[in-house]
Amino acid sequence: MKTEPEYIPDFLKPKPVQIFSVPQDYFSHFAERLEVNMESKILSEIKGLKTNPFKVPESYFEQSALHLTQLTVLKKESHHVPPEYFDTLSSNILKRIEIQNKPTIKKSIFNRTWIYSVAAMLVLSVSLFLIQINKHNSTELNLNAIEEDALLDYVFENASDDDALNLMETFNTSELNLLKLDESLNNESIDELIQEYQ
Amino acid sequence: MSIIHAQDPREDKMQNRERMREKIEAQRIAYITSKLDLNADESVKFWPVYNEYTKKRMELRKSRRDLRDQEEMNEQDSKKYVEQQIEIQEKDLALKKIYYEKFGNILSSQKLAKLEEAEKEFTQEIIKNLKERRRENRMK
Repeated sequence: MKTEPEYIPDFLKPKPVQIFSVPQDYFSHFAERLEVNMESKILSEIKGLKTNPFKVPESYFEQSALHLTQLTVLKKESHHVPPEYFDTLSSNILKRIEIQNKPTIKKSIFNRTWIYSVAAMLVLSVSLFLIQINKHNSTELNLNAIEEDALLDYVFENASDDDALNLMETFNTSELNLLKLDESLNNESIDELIQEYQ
Repeated sequence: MSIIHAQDPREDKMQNRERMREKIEAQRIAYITSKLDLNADESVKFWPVYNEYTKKRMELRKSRRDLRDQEEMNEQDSKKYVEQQIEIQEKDLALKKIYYEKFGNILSSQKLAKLEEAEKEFTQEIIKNLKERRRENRMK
């Protein structure tokens, strides 16, 4: 009858012998030898220096532990950040950049648009005022500065038949015939000018 | 171009006529604006349309005058003349109807009702002025 081999953990298995061989009694005086070696080495190094290079104030090392704890406390407090600071940091920076990149809008009431609109208002009100004045004075016509021929032309070109008859009463026939002749000579060019003018 | 024109006395006369015409136009605008009591807003809208109207009306009246200037008409000519006279008058009325409708969108009817009267008064003022000049000339 075959039985299963007993399980043996690795660390319990017998180790192979004499892989790292050491001289006899190596470990029995190991500590002493190490001490002697170190002392001689340190002493030889110190001898090379004139004075003690690492001078510290008296009782420095008695306080050092305290100092260190104080420093660490200071360090902690000096770089204190509000809770969740880094959660919102990137979005905050992005916001700030966006604000900087936005075109700045002048809030001053003395900007150009304002001045222009005030100027436009002034011009408009002045012209309206002048129109009002003009309206009241204009019923008095100033026709004396206009040549007679031009006035006759106007009546013939714009007036109704009644007006033309009225005019004929004033002027004798020969004058009117002359006028008509003159007019017929220039009618086409007058029409051209009117078209240009209007 | 302008130098050549200036040297032509006929051209010079034409330019002077045009200046005078513009002066009369300005007087008419002032007169009608006053009579109809047009405000600035109404003026801005009214005058371009009115100028369009008077230009077309002037053309019609000119054609009517040209018609009248014919001499020695026979029976056939006279018949045609009468027909054409009526035709032009119809056109004149049709034009008035179209433009008074346009004016009605710009002005109140109360103002528009004064337009024809103002136009006639203005022409009368000119005739009056011409008569006065005549009288003055005779007295000299």
